[in-house]
Amino acid sequence: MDAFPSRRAVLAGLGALGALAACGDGGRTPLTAEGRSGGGEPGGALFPFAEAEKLNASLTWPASIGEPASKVTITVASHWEAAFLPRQEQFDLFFMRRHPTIEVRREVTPFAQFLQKYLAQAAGGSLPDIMYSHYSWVSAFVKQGVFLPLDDYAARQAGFAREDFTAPSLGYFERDGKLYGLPYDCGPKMLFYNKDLFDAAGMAYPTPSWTVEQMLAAAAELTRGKGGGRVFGMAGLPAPVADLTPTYLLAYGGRYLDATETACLIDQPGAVNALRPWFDLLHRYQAVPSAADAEAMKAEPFGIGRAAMGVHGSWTAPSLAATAKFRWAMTDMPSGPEGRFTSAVGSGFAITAGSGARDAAWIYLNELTSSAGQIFMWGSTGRGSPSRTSAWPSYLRSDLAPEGAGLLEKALTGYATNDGVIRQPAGPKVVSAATPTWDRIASGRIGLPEGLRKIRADVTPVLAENR
Amino acid sequence: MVAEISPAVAGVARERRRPRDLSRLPAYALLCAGAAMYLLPFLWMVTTALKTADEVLAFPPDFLPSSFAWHNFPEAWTQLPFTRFLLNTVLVTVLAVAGTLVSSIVPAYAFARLPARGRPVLFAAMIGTMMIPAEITLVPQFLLFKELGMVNTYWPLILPAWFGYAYYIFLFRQFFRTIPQELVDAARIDGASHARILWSVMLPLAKPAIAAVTVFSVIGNWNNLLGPLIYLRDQDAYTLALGLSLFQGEHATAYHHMMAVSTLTVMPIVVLFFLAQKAFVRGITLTGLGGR
Amino acid sequence: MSALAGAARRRRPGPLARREARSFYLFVSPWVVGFVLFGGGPIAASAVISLTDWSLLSSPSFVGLDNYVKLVEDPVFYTALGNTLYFAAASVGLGVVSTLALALLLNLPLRGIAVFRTIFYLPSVVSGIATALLWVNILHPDFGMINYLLGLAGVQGPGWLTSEEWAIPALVLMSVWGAGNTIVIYLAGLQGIPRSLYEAAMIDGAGWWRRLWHITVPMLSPVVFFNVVTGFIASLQAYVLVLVMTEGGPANATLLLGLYVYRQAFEYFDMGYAAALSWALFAIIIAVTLVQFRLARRWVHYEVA
Repeated sequence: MDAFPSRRAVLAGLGALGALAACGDGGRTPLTAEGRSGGGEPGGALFPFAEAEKLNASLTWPASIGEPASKVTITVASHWEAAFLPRQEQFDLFFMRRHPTIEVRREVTPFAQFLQKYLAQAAGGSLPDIMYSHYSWVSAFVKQGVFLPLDDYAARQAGFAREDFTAPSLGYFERDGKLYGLPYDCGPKMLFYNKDLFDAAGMAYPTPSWTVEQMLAAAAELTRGKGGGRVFGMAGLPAPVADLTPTYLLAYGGRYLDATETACLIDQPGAVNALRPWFDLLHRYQAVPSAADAEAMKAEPFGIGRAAMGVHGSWTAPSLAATAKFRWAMTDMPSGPEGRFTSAVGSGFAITAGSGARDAAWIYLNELTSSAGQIFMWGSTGRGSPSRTSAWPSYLRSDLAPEGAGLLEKALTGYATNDGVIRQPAGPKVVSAATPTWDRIASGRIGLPEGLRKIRADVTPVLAENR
Repeated sequence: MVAEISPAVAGVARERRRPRDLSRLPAYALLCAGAAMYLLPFLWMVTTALKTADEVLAFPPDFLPSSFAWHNFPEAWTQLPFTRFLLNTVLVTVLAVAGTLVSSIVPAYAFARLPARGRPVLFAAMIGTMMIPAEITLVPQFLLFKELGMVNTYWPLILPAWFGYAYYIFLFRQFFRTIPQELVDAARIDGASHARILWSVMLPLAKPAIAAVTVFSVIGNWNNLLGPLIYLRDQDAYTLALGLSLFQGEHATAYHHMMAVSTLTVMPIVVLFFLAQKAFVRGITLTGLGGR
Repeated sequence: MSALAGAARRRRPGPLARREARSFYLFVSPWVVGFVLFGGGPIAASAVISLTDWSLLSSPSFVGLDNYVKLVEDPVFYTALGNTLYFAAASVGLGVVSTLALALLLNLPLRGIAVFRTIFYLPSVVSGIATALLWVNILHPDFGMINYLLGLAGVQGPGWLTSEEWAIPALVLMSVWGAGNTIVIYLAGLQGIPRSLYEAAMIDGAGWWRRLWHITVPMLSPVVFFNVVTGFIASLQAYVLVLVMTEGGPANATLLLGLYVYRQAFEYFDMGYAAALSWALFAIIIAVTLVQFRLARRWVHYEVA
């Protein structure tokens, strides 16, 4: 029985572990931007520190509403992916240099898990001072009193220039005449096209004068090949998600929900007319990837060169620029019988109502979303889609702006809208209620008008909570 | 007498099979066919780690990269402080696994071998705790650790492990109940206490189960995303699983980087399993006594 | 509830029994303390939460049994319930048998078996995302490996994850393939079977099948039982798999209760309803588990009563 040898060793090891456990609270030390990566300067190959420092010094930062007299720590929660995080850390570092009495503690969480983490923190009363918010979450947070109204700060802030924010961007953070957060980005959905595939088909590129019908006819014509080599005219179908109305339906006078989000209108003639040609594109021409194809492709079919056109948000441009192996550009969304429309959506940051360091939080939030902050974070890095008009030139002038990017700004000040973008608390449930039947329309199990009537029946009860 | 570690017997058994070499061919054929299916995800991970960002997205996918992008490994590893994350993960895993083993084995012995009036009720309650979805106790548990001032420390990840997990207790209990009663009775006659019996009779015989639980528990802690996600706030305290998830952005995922770090961090686990699986066979050879 | 404790208790009167009972409470105390500190409280809290309307963002408000009334009238709940029972029964049924077969194979004293054991466990170690991406491609209707192989046999393969009928079978296939832990538990269990039993049986001239059926299976039955019970509990709660693979689609065909709970809690801001759903799930799991413990008396063989 001696073949169970390590018993004494096990005991000794357990003792040692107990001792370790006693000091196992390594996570408690607050960490500053300087403290990260063993005191090194944040940056790396993508965002060289020296360049960041130079850019930071060249920008005009907003006047402060008054520095805290003694040291204040603010916690800022965002979701940046690993590759972009260093830029945020650079911003934080320079911010702390400008404001020696404010210490920034950053919390970074993957986008997919962000809501889960901070709903738990909200329940526990441990929300950060400043937190990221997707446009679709704002109303739920505001309705429950989680976000602080910022109107007083905005009024006190010299040079705040509320009108500098693009019109669609601010709308998501306004409720009952009050401002509950500041957007940092907002971009329209545009028509992206693959020049190589158009050239191969001998077809002329899309132009801003195109109509939806022209676009869909071209999509059918551009589709060719079979199996794994098939090229699709269009990257995907509309989906019953938050921005369906402005992106696809308004051009035909249709709506998903009414303006108050208390009635579903998707089976009305405008919406049916807008959607029918899209489902024809799938059923009759197989010009959009099937559900299986879409599932198996890890990225949007357009991004991997398998679709000649795609309707994508402006925020798609940076990753396309980084990975696309074909020539591409973007142009205006085509117009329909009722005119030209597209959605513009974006995200922002809010100060939480429970914050104990509101002044410092405002100073940070205001600088991050100021013209200088947006140039530093989004204009100069190629991420684009800043929410302030004054930050757009920095993006458009940079080498990172793709062909046709100038149209983005024009769309934002022209036909792009947040009207009809679902943002009341029932939003996620609406999407879940509509999706199963939408899948069945796509798979041909139910006809379009009948399917849309069923969606209306399924969605209507869900809307009760928006009243 | 009743049970002995008997490599000699095992050796004899092995010896005896040797002449029937040909009969092993079907077994090997089955194993190889199955292995191909089971190796795929691992190979997929490694080849993805060696692809460039755009190659990852090719569709239909190419299995092999056009050239090996070895630079993905240092690039990905240094994009976040993964060395720090690794050390954090090792600390949490070692402490949690040690706790899990101790605090699951001891109650399991009680549930398996010590009669008491309260046993059925407690056992039912224990099994019951497994049946409430963790998604729903997550928030109350968070509130609890918040009250205890333990948010943003490793305590919420370690402390519960020292008080037994129902799944592992149940597993050990099942194993302890297969051990012949004669062994326990013999030890009782020799005047051994229950602690002694557990230590000297049960544990050596339950070595395969201990190895199994160790492996499960290591993997569970190593890959745990939810706990660190909810409880850890400062990036320097993050674990590997949480760091890995940061390769996923809102709009795109750096699969090549994610798989590079995955490949590196999965290796210790694969090695651990390779070592532990010996315990599944080199366990014990019971001789002399049949079960009933 | 006490029926859960399964096998009959041994009653021994006198001081020995008292001493045994004292030892029992001492030994079991780590779990009891943990239950009081970390387990019971949150579970009780979740029961209370199920009686409230709580978005997590502000204070909960008491609504009585409203959430349970809503549940009874919620057609999506029944869809999810049906999917969940189907998925659990299929994956446990198929899983218990196929993993036992694999464990028997991996228990053979062959050269290089250690490497095979490690390979068969790899799916349980590798990141879920790599696994998900791989399976999406394996299951692709047009050029996935499975339909390719079916095509060689002259069978037109289904749409798998994109088909309402075949999406759950596809997920069952995945979960069975990834059940490395079950294999390991069987392997560990197999080591505890005294070799003498086999030797005696061989002397009696028992063939492979009879040795399997009359020695291996009964001797392994406590472990099989463990795998069945915990397998059911886990698969009735499963949600990560569908969250990654199908998001409940197509047309809610893979909406499992676990995913529905997750969505209510963390996407729809409705923790109260999520808790009510969880308790409904709990009731179902308890019913299934009780039946299993009852049935266990007929087929699970323990060394100790």
